[in-house]
Amino acid sequence: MGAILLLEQCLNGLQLGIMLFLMAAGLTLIFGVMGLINLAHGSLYMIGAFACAAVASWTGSFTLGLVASVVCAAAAGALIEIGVMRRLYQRDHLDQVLATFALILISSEAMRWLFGSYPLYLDVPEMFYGAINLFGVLQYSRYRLFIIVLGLLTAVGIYLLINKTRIGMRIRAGAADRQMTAALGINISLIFTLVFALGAALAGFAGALVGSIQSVDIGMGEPVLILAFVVVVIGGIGSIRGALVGAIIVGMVDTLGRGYLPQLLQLILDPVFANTLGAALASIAIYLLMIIILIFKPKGLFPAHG
Amino acid sequence: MPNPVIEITNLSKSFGAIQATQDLSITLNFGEIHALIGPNGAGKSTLIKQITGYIQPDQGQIRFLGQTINQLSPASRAKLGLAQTFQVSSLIMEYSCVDNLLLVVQARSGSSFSFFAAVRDDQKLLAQARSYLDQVGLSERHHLPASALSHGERRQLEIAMALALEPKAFLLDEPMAGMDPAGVKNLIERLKEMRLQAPILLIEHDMAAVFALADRITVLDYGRIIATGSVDSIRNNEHVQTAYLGVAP
Amino acid sequence: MSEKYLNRIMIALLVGLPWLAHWLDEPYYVSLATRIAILALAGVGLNLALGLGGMVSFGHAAFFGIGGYVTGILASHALNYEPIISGFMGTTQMLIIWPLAMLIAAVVALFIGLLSLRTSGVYFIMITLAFAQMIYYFSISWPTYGGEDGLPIYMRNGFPGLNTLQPIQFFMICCTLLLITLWGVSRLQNSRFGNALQALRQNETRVTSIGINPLGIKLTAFVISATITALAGSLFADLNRFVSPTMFSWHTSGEIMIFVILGGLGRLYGPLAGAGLFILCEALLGGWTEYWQFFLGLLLLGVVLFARGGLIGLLSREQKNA
Repeated sequence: MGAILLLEQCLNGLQLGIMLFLMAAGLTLIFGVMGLINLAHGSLYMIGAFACAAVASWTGSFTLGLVASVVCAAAAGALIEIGVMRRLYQRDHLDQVLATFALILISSEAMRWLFGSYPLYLDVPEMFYGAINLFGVLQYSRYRLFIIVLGLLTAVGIYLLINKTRIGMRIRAGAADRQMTAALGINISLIFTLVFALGAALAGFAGALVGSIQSVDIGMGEPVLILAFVVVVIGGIGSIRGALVGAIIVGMVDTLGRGYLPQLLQLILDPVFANTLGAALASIAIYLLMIIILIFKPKGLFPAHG
Repeated sequence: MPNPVIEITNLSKSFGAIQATQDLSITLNFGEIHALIGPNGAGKSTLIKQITGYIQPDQGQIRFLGQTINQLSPASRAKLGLAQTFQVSSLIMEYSCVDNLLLVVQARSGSSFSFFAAVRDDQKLLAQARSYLDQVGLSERHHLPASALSHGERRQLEIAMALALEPKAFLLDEPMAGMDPAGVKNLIERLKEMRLQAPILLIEHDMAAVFALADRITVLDYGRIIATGSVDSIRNNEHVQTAYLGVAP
Repeated sequence: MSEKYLNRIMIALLVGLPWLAHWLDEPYYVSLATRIAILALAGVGLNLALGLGGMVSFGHAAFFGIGGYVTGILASHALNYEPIISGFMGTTQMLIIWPLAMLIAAVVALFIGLLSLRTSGVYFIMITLAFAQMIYYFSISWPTYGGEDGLPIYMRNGFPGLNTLQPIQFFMICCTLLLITLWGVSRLQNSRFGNALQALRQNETRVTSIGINPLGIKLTAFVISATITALAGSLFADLNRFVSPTMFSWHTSGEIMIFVILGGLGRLYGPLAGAGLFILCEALLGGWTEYWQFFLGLLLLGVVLFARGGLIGLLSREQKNA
């Protein structure tokens, strides 16, 4: 019984991790290639979720909704990049933090104006209703499994894109040495827009997928944004591999922590206190983890440039 | 018996596969200008950074006035009397010339943990700051922000700030870099005067200046010393001639 | 017009208008002015670390919240006659609460600073954010002081000789504290410490190379900045007679930054101008549209991209004294 629960928790942790990876991959690329701290990433996640919910309810098709989420988020990303981000690359981190914070305010209120303050309805598509029997022992939500698989496929896709294609090579070059890459005549401007739009698309995609499990509301991007930043810092700025490893670690620690810390503490402490303390510690576990990792590896686990 | 102000023994530093400093031993003695020359990438800057404390050596000892300073932070080493000028002028850009110097004088004369008295009202400090500006001939420009200075003037300001530290040793990293011939001549004279105050470890590419100034020359290549000695011995050294001075073998 | 002149105008408005409102029996506007003074104080604290010291702390809400919660906890224990630790029953006296709040914030800031000031750039931003987040989530999960629902303070804390429930009297307390702090920070700015701090912001290597230890200076600035923001938090708790975990949230950290930037980063009276502008937006724009934060966002974006000197920079067109 305990082992089955553990398996389920691990899968949930993996699913959270994969979703965080989709967010973190974009963030780490944007920061690695363009040196830009982008707080608005959570808003792109939200925009993707809203686009999916809106299109899915108009057309009745979840697939179309997913496509819409990617397209809308990418478009929003490209627009933001051309309109705002371009002016921020040369600026210091403070300016980037403030400007992207401003974008959060702008996009949240804009969405509230468009869609109202109440959460939108986005349901899991019918074919993923219910549970599937895993390894003969666990009934696991079909949809969550779908998310895991889809997420892993996307991860492979990103890996191939970054490591095996020409454009990926240029992106990696840009991440390693921006000025040199530009000096070599590669259209760095276009690369930047593409990278930003790609990151946005991934975020929107993640938002749409998660929107069906949780809710599609205005503030949904913010907790994920902070988590994604923690992942990026843990994994190493500019590293996709770091983003994946970091995301899985964070997903696992967060999920397993919430699941097991209260119980673990009950072994040594009074049950009510243990519960409270456990819940409190679980919510701060990843931050503690980040700080500890930074103490030993100040640039994260897999820093892209040494 | 020469008196070492700075004594470096068996210093080694590698970055991954690159051996930036290989078992290097060198001294800076009282009253001398010791020039350090060598091609780019020879490890001169790395050596300076290890002396000032920004890079930790893998092995070896650095002694300053008889004291081992390996464990000291860069700020502590500066406080002991190690003054440095940078290859690329490192100034407080928004501050005026006098303010840049005032900062040094403030640092040298007691604690910076004073929270109420206005530092720019301290006439004694101001006077001292102005005197260093006078020494390098920048009095006319004292009120201008460092960002408004010409390249040569910035190099002068750097020298003034080093002087203001009243140090026990100067580490000068290419002070002539980018200067016009008149400026170089002035600087040569000034360095000759500074030598009387404290010995100078001088990194330079301007060979004419080096030969005019140095009491000793050490030649670095690939992190190792390939020759050290008087001006004449270095000038006539075959290895140095081929490796660095561009004379055909 | 010169920055000095602008500052004087702002002080005149800040002190004068509430008295006018009091005379006209409009306590709402007095409360509004009190909010401006308190948020300005929080901004003055951050401005010391951020504007003067160049430390982008994205976790200053932690200190704001600590000030608030110390106030709330001390008051609630006193009002409920519950001892906090044996013998100590809490207190509802501002003159005791303020030093305690500032002391606790200073200790926390010392701890956070020692760990985070070894880093720089985005890592510093993330670590300060992480600490604030930890405190935030902890305050939500810990039920004793209200958890997510927050902690109401049923009585406004007391100040000898004054009726703190009277809006104008409470306003004068906050305003006086703000003015005293502004005076203190201006002395600090021009002192040896301030000189070293502002030089550090511009060129840390140079400052190190003349024998000033950067960590000591930055840590001190960080701690002082935290105590000022904590004082503001304590006043905020008394103003609203309520504390909640939101005081620790990163949104709050962002808002405090907004006050500082809107007014002009590094300018002494910047946070006052910025807080004033922010509250005016909220009150005026908020009256017209519930989407006023949209316009605030646009304003902030505009300031960051085009008017880096903030309101004071724009109006005074003067180079900030270094």
